[in-house]
Amino acid sequence: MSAAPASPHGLDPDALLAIRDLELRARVVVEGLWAGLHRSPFSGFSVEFSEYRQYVPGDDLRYLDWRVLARTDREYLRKFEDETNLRCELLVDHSRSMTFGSRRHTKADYARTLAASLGYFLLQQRDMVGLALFGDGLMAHLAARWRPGHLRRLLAALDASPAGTTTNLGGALEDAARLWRKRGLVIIISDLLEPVENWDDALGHLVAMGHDVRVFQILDPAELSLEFGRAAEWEDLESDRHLHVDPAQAADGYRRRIDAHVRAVARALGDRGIPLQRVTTDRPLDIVLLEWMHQTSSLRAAANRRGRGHR
Amino acid sequence: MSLLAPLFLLGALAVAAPIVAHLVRRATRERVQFSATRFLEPSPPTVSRRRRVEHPWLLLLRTLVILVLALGFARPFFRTDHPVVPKASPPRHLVIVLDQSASMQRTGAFPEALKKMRSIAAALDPGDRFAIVGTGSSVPILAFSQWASAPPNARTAMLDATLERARPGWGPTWLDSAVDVALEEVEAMNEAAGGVSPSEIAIVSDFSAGARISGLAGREWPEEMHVTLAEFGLTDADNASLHPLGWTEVPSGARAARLQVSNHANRTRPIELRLIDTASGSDPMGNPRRETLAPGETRVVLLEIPDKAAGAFRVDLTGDAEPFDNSVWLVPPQRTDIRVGYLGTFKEDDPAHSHFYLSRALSGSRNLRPVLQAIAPGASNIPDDIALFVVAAPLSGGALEALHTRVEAGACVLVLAADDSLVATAGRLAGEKGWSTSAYARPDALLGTIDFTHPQFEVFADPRYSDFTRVRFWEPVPIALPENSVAKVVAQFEEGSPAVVEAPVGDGAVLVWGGDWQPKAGQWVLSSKFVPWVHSLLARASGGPRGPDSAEVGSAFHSQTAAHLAWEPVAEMTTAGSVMAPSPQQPGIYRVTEGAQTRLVAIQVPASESIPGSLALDAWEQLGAPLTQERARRPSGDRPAGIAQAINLENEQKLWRWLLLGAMILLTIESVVAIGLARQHTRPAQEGA
Repeated sequence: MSAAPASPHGLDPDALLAIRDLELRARVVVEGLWAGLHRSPFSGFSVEFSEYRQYVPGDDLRYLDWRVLARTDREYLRKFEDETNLRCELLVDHSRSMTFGSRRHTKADYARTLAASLGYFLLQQRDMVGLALFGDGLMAHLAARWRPGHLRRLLAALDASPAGTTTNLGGALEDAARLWRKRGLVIIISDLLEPVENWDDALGHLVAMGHDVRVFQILDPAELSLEFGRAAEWEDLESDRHLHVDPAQAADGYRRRIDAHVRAVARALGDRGIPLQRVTTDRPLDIVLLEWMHQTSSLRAAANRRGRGHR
Repeated sequence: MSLLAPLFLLGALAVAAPIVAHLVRRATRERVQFSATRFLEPSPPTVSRRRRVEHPWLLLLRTLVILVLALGFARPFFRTDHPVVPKASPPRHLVIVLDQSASMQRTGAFPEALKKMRSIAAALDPGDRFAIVGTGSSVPILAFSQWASAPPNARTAMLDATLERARPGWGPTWLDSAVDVALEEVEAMNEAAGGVSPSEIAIVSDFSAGARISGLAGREWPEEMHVTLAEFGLTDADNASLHPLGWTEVPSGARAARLQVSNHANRTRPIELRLIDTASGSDPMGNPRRETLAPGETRVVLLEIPDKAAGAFRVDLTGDAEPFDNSVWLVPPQRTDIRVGYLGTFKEDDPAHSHFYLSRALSGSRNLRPVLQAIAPGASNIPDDIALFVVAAPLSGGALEALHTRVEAGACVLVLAADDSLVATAGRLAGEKGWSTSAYARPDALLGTIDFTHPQFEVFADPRYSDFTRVRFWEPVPIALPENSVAKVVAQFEEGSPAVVEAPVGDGAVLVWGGDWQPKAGQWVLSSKFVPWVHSLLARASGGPRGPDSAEVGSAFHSQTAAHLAWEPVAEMTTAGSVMAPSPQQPGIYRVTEGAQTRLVAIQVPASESIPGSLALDAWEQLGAPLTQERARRPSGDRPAGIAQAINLENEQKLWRWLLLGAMILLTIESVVAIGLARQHTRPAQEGA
């Protein structure tokens, strides 16, 4: 499965995020995406074989895999994707660090629009979408649903200004693990500037629960390059830390340290098999979404290949 | 370019403030919020930028503003070769009121006054009008016309000559009269000019506490008029004063002069009083009288006059620093004998008869010594030396003829017309027939119309004393005069009938009172008006009222009669060893001739001139005088010509206005630049946040 982007450059994030209405933003992203796709995105999901399950008395015999029964003399039922609606949980960073932005919009604006676009896209596919906002812990939670009006509640929750102070992804993941008992797709949208060791274990626990975890790391371009600001008193958005910084002098050291951190994040996620999509806020959102779909399709294809290999 | 006030250039030093502010790098007050400071290391502050001036254009603007303001305050001007003539101001009228009262005889007072006058006159412009008015005279010392007629270069000499002639007088400080004269001069000048010019009255005086300004009450001051009180500083005088209070008799029977002695100094003072007979020279008679006066004390001292002494005296006080009020002049009481003849029932000490009251009223006369003599109504030989006759009984025959003759010769007759016969007697004395009485209907009568211009009632002319409604007559005798009578009705009863009439007879007069003077006939003899009325009659009979023996310079007697009498100085005040010209304007003893009489009159220094202290400024304000502080005179007065020229040039050019305008424009530009820079600063910070 392959899809081409709607346009080589995508939607300008500044222009997109200038739209006030979050739903409209999400719709612009998703509709534009569809219009540019050659094939329906539905093909990648649903009506696909999903898994085998041990037969228990009372199950509908229509789904009994007779061929497996014939080969192995065991009763297995075939389950299909269109039967098991996707349960997706969006875990969005609402901490103060997300309020930074060297452009006209902040990381929080970008993350919000991304989450809204994902939610809109998935709900359009009749998938259940839940939402959790986190800062120094889990702050708001909407259980995964598919029903009319759920999108609006989702968008309303996303539209709230970031109320968290510090970032505590580890704690939020632990809380989320208690809430999300059913396996599903978990999409984490955060800047992940927190030290890796703070959330690595909790993330491992979530993966161990069988959740399909994806991570969007949202970063401002200036956070990577430090081509921003001037010599002044710099204050941390989440702590009381303030120090005199001349960007011209501090840029080299900063870049070294942030690169090391980004690499550490990628390594930690890679070790747990979690796909990471690092996004800077100057990236067009439809491109980001399209890349995510490509990533998902390729992952699913790989999983299917692995499944057939097992058979 | 020159500067009028170059010291203000020191204000330019204030440019150091913005320069230092721009050189010192501002402490970093800007805040940048960032999400990933965890990965940042603090940067050391840069040293190289400290030496750079921040916002040099802003600094330049601010420096310029300060420099331009400092230059403006220094009042720059360009010197030119052409002299600048100050704009012509309207000519003003300046009248100096010069105090020439006796208090100006104090040591150093008058030279100080002249000095003050010269300094005031020095500020006059050539176009100004100037006059000098002295106290005690209604004629200006220097008139506007004299000043205007003199060429400008001769005016200083004229002023010097005028002031050289000016002397302090001996009169009281009547500033109100002098200010009135000054106002009249100014008004006359305004009328002549046909408009109101700014005018000023400068009063040069010691403003002694006894100065009189009450006459200015209700005075309407012209527009553009200012009054300046030019006081000169004199220390409180170490003065003691001496003033006469009259004569008395000591228990030994000798004459004694009553003297008021006052010590105006703040210390106890021993004084000596010396009695000097003016006829014998300046040697004191007897030993000096020594007194010691406490600070501020005033007491009466009786100075006994030896019996053998006659004529006039002088008493000198010694022991104080101010001699001008240390002498009093004494004239012993000079009482003239006058004989009064009484024709009627005469019983000693019988209050039922009118002579009882007449004799007691006569005894209080100040200048006359009346002698009451009873004459039998039927006597035909009447003494020639009797000047006044009182007729209380009908006369007939020889007595009537003899009295008529005396009246024609100048005697005065009062007829107490208690009945028809006495009225008829009065008529015959007046040489007329048909005099009678008319009936009076009511049991009591009051005087209705009174001729207060008549010498008998003139003393009551003042409305305060003209109330006769309290005097009742229970036995009124209205007089009926014939139609062709020459007699004049002096007073009428309330019903209109004559109560008092007077008929001229030859050189004398017959005065008829319609009624008796007994207390049962009316309240007249017991009223407060009876004695003055009798004294008026006595004065008329003696040839007219006589002035006092002692008067102050400027007193009513002195000022009203000085011009009509012949004054011959007997002894007068000497000033600095020289005898002043014979004039009633200075203290001393004068021989005064009034008609046929000649007597001595003592003229004294006004007592008000010795009162210590100075006139309160409030008194002037209460009278509504348009007072000004003693104003700084025009700049040309004391300044060198160069400075005056510079002031005129600066006034003409007024460069400071342009500099102020430039400073305002620079400030506006500075504000715009500063706002622009502030926006530049805040924009990245906002983006950073």
